[in-house]
Formats: sequence, structure tokens, C-alpha cells
Amino acid sequence: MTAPTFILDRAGFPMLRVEAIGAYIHWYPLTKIQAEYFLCSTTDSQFDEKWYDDLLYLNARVTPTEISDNNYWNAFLTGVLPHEAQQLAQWAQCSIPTLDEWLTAYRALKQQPELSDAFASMGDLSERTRTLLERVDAASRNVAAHEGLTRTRADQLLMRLGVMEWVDCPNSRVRWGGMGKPAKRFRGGLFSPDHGQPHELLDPETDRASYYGLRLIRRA
Amino acid sequence: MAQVICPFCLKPHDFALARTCEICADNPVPDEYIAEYDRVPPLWLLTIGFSRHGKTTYLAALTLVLENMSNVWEGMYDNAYDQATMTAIRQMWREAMQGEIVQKTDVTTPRPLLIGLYGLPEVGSRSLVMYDVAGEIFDSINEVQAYLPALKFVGTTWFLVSLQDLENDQEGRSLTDLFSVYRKGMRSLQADLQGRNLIVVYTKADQVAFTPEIEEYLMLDPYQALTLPDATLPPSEDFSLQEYRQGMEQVSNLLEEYTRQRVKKGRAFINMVKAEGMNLYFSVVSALGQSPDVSSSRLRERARRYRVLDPFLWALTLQATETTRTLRIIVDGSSTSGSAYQALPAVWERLADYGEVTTYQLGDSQAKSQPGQKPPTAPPDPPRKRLIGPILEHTPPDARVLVFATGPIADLADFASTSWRDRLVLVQTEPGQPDAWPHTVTYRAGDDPTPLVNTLLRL
Repeated sequence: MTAPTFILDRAGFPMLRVEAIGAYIHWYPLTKIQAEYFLCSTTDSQFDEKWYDDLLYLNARVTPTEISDNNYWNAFLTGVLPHEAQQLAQWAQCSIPTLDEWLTAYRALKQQPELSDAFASMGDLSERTRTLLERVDAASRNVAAHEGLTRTRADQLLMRLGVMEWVDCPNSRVRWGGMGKPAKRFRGGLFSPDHGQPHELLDPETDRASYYGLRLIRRA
Repeated sequence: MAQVICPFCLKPHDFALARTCEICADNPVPDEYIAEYDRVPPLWLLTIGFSRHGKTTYLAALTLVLENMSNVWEGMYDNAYDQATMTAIRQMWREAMQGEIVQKTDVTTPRPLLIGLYGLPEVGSRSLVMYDVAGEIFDSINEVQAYLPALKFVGTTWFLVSLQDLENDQEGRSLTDLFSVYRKGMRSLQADLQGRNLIVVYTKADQVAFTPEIEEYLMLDPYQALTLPDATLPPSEDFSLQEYRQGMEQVSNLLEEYTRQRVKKGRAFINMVKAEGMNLYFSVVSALGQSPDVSSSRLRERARRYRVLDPFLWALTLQATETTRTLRIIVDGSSTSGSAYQALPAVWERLADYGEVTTYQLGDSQAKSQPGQKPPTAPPDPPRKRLIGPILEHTPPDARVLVFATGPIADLADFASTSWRDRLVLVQTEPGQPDAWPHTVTYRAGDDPTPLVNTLLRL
């Protein structure tokens, strides 16, 4: 088995190489810290103080050292609209995955065991980033155990028990769908990515859903 | 052009706007000093010592030696920047040639000697800004405060001490007394001693029974005959500043041990200096190589000058390794940040005395002003969310940061358990619920910025 390959994105967060899609994929859904890097570098006036306050109202912020089983989803950026997610992706020199890419990566990672000592292989993480990754990992592990899930590598990446993630569905009736499975205490529901169909919102372009976030890929 | 420090008032001044410093209108700053500031950076030197301990005599000898070093160092030359410096050097030269010792310094506000030194081996060119301060002012703490803005500014200080004169001091003064006065002065000026260099220069070395190793070091000075006519001097290529410094370090260690063992209150002095976090070095010189005739104040033979260059080379090499303080001001960029901009200018101006200040706005990772440029005067449009992480995570690990905020910063708590805890001061410019941050200060426009700046510098 080959060793996992990581790169760091513009905010210093890890992306894992997934050969099944020929791309790097974010280890976790996009965090608020990554989005804050975007906010601090963009000159686009739509991403102003109020924009971020509105998102924090939907899903509050948590500082990495305070992350626990009851709030780890607060670490992720949610409430973004698809066109905003695209701008974030463009800034990050990444893309929003297509439905096929997301499902292919999910299925490939689900076949693999958890990576042991993953954080040691991720490169030069900042203290804050490392704390966030480690505490989210510990919290989501506890929640998975509570829900009786056997963790695979896909679960380690929070493709389940994370947030609903925007996927691009170019051949569907509605272009933007959701994949993933939020933690029950964040957002209840019976949706499962294993069914292969995207979750759909009635009006994805304008309605901010508090449990919709994103995970980016970098094709290479 | 970088911000130019006026050598008289020691304040930064933008000489692109006016060629004279508004504070020092009576002391025009030499054009060459300003024009060459970037290429020929200043080497600040300040001498401290009890009166009659040979301080001025030593400075006269140093000036003479430096003027003659062009005979040894290929490509080196010197240039007095102003008439006052030229006159002072000529006077020193005349006195040295005639064998008269120079007169004791008048107690006045110090006016520095300003000398351009070009082509110094391994370090390039420097503007020597050298303050010769009357010994008497160190006898009184009040006079230290009144006369020495340079005390606060200069990073390397020489203590010139004659051990023979100290031994015979009628008032029983010691090295610790000298350091106590200096320390009190610095404290009253609210200046931090941590990291400053203190070079103890033992003058009149010919009068002291040092150890054989120290005496040998003195006598083997390759430049002792530099100011004598027709002297044979070592060739330029034989000089290596790094090797010379190794020799100085060895003798510094020997002198430290000598001080500990043989000098009155020497051990206590060393402990005091080190307890303040200062870097302590020792040097030994004989500016005349002999004692002047008591009755006439004249020398009985031509002066050989031993290791006169050493304190200068210490200062030169220490400054080369000195790092300028990296300082950051991060000011609120939110829609309610107006009061932060009213408070900012005075603090920025004061802080710029202590290092290179770069300014940012919360929520924007692009710098808004570089060192020497004035900070922004208004919040950004559109306003920015109060975010600091992307700025801090790209700030050098040795930087200290002052953050002006009018409300909570969304991600400041992320850094509460990191090393930023001891490198960042949060300045609240409006009443309200502050962030829980260990170093938080309330400051409003019109307040004295000194305590705030000192809080940051002491971190």
C-alpha cells in the first residue's frame, strides 16, 4: 500500500490525494478558518462584515481548543450559497467536486481503513490548524462510536457525520445538490450518501441552508 | 528612503518633505548623513563613565585611529559630516600631536560627532554617530534624564572605567554604582534594558596589573603604532574581522573573570547586568600607552595606543548581528472602528522609535503601511470583519503586535493558548465587553502612549 500524499491549501489545511478521481480532496469540509483566510484576501465587497455575521448566526464559530462532541460542526463553514462556494473555490485554486467525483472518492475511501497517525504526514501545519484537526477527529470519533458506526477512511474525512456538502450536478434538473451526512445533533435527517443520489434543496441558489458547506478538490 | 533618525533629537523624520528637522532647527542635519542614510546606516555609540576616567581621551584616540585606518584597510576612508565634527577632530588631532591631553567634557546637551566611515572590512560603510557625554551627569539621576535622549535610543553602550581611578575613588564608588545610575535613568525614561549591549571598556590599562594573558593581548595590538609617523603597519589582507572578534571574545572572557575576582563589587556588577537581560562584553584599552606628566598634563613620549579599536569593533560587529525589532500594529477595520483611528497616530509615532512598524487592518491580510510610512487614517470601505488569524499566522515569530479594536475579534481566542499570548497587546479604544486576552489595555486618543508602548516592549 502506498503512503498517503498530502498537500496544503492556501490556508495551510491538508488535502489528501485520492487516485480514484485523480485529485486532491480536502481532509475535512471547508472550515471557518479557511474561509477567514479568503475573507482577509478578497476585495469583493459582497464578502463583507455582514456577510460573515449572517453565516455565523446560522452556525456559530468555535475556537479550536473548545471543539467537542457537541459542537465540532461549528468549526465548518456552512450557510454558503453555490455561487459563493464557487468563488471560495476559485480563490483556493480548487473546484467544487461533481457528484461523480464526490461519490467515486467516497466509495474509494470507504473501502480503506482509517489512516493511523494521519496528522504526522500532513506537513507543516500551524498550531491552530493542528489543534482543530485533532480535536475534530477526536470528537467525531466519539460521535461515530455513539452512533455505532465502524469508521472507514471516508468517515475519518467526515464524508459522514460532517456537514452536507455542495456538489455540482451538471446533468441534473437542479445543478447544485448536496452529498454527505451531517451529524444528527447538527442536522437530523435520514439522508445517506450510500444511496448515490444528491440531496436537493428547493431553492439552492438563494436559500442559505445552515447545514450546507463545501469540500474542495484540486484536480491534478 | 527609509525613515531617517535625526542624530540630534533621535526622532524619525521625513527629510523628503523638509531638509531640516523641525525639532532641531538650530542643528541642521548634514546633507550627506541624510542622502546616504540607506547605503551608510548609522552606528550609534554612547559613552558613559565617571568623570576623569579617561573617556574623552579615549574618544580622541579612537577618532585619530579611525582617521588613520585608511593606511591599513584597503579602500577604507572617513569623512566628517559637519563643521562641528571637523573642528572637534582637528582639535583632538592637535592635542594628540602636541602631547596634551584633551580637556574634560563640558556638561552640556550632547552633540554627536558625525563621521562617515566607508569601506570597513566585511561590514561596508557606516555613519558613526558618537555621543561623548560629560561624566558628571551620571552622578545625578535628574541630569541623566535631562540630557540623554540618546540613552534610550542607542542599543550599544560603552561603560568607560579606569580601574585605577575607581580603586582610589574618594567617595568609594564602584561599577555597581555606575550601573545603578544608568539603570535608574533608563527606568525613568521607561526604556527596556533587555537585549541591549553593554561594553565595559577598561581605560588607562597601562596603570593596572592585569593578568599576563590580558597584558599580552594588549601589547600584541597590530595597530598600536598607527598614529606614529613612519610606523610599519600590517598589510590590509591580514585583517579578518571575524578572527579579530574571536580574539576580543577571548579577552572579554578573561576580563569578566578578572572583574569577578579582582574588581570592587565586580561580581555584583556582572550579576546585575545579566539579571537585566543585557549582553555584557569587556574590553581593555590604553589610549596613550602611558600616564601623562602630572604637573604639565603632557606626555613624555609619543603615544602608542593599545587596542583602541576594540570597543569600536565590538559595537560594529554587535550591530551587524542586531536585529531590528519587528513590530506590527493591527487596527480595527469594522464599521464601528472610528475611535481606533483617532488613537492610532500618537502610538504609531512612539512605537516607530523602537523598531520597524508595519500596519494592518483587521480582516485584511495585506499590509496597509510599511516601516517609515504613516498608518491608515480611516477604516476600509467596505468594512471588514474583525479577523486576525490570517495576519498573525504570517507574522514573523519574533514580532510583537499591538491590536486596536473597538469590539470582539472573532478569532482572537484561537491564539489564547499559543505563543501569541505573550507577544500581543490588545488595545481597547471603546468601553464594552473586551476579548478575554491576558494583555489588554484601555487607551483613548489623547492618552500618553508611553505605558502602552512599554507594555508591548516588555513582553
